[in-house]
Amino acid sequence: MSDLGWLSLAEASRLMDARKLSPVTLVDALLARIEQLDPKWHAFIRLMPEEARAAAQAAETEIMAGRRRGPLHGIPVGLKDIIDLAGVPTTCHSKLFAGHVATKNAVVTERLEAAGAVFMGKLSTHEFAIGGPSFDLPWPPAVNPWGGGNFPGGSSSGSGVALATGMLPAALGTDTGGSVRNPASMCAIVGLKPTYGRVSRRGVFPLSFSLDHVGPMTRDVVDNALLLQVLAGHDPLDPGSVDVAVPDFSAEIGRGVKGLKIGLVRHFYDGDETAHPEQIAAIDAAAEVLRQQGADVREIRLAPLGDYSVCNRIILASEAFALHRRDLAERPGDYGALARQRLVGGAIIGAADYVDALRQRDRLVHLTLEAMAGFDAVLTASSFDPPPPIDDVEACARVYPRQARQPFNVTGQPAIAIPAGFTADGLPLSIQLVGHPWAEARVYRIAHAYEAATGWTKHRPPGVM
Amino acid sequence: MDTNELARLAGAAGLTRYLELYPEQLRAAFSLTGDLVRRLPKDLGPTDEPGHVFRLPFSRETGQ
Repeated sequence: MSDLGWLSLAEASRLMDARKLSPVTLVDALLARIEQLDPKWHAFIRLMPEEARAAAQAAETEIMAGRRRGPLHGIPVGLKDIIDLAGVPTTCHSKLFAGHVATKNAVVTERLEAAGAVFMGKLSTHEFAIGGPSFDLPWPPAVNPWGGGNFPGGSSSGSGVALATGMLPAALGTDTGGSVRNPASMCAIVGLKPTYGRVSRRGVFPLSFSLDHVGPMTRDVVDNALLLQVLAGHDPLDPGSVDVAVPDFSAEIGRGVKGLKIGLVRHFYDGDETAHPEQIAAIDAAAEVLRQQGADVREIRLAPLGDYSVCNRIILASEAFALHRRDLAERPGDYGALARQRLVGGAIIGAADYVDALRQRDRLVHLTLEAMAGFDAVLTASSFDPPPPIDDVEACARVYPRQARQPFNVTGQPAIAIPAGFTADGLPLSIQLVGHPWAEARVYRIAHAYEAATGWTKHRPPGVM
Repeated sequence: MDTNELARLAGAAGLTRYLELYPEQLRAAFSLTGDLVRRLPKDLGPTDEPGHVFRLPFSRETGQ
């Protein structure tokens, strides 16, 4: 099989700039990989070979005419299948939406198209970004190549798997309680949840309006910053979008961490809850790597993990139930069992409880930012456990809520999950780095310094050539 | 949660079919959510205003 599958976005882009790689060649190589690999890993709900080849040909023509639009021009990308692409079904991985064809592009789709990206297809997700992994849906769940048949995290499961298997160099996910960072952690790739309001959600099927984010997923940090650069920008028609300047997200990459102050939030994973010992050791090792690079890493305390988790889950359950209540009442059998169970709970949350959760959210934002004053970022866990076998229903249910991602959906801060080594059994471990609002460039700087010092993002799953 | 309470909550939410079709799912979901609600803070005061509030759309044309 061609090793073009493991080309990074940045490498492919450089080769296209130098006219040493044709977008058509790259798309054809990836389509061949997908045809060979996807029957086992199920990253795709819909593959679009004809459309992708036509778009790649158009990109090649423009590039050869000296009109390369930017780093994404000619680069294959995938969309989590709750993101609209005009003329193509947005299924939300659900029987309910099996025939639902998008009439317009989502704003992020529009931005990618304008940048010249090539859409390869729509990617698996947990049903409506909440119910998974599930085996009672029209499409099978995506499977993690790490471990040969494990839970890939979710809900942006197909995006994580497509990257981890070399089917795509870049994909979009969404994150309401951790759904970009969970598959990033489980699949040993890089996923960023940007600041709330940084990237438009218009045209993305919502799960919880006030917590939803769209985020870039890639195999390394440099690629992630390049992808966010295209996605970011104010959208006056997205009520959550904020009109702030879009900086150069790559500007600080390569400057190292010497002199930066990083707070280590240990109590989330070794106190409030207890992570897997190898995961704790990986975070300790990451803190030491950053210290050796010149960062001042010291322990700090935020609010207890459970405070953020309760707040996140009540807001999410309330807003998601409001969105789904009619279908839950009228077509309950069209939902998979997991989505149905996770969605109906919101039915009994009273208006005052929802308002109290919103009030608590504001308090947690202030408390968190106060605790982070004087620090450039915090380091903590993303997932608390390595990925379990996907067919072990009890293990998946146990691992799913054991995480420290929800706090930063509550606070809206930018947060990245990146690989941090492997267990003795060869399963992915990860860390999470969290910045101040709008400071994605600083998060990328720290993540890149760690990545460069450790090389964890260069590892590939055994058996996937 | 007893059956009467489950029926009352399901009825109020328009989910009466669930009592017949998915009673255990409903019971588990309501029980979990009830536990979350009980864990909300009890010390929120009048000045703890939610951050996510109604706001009018900004108009680029008028600058208002």
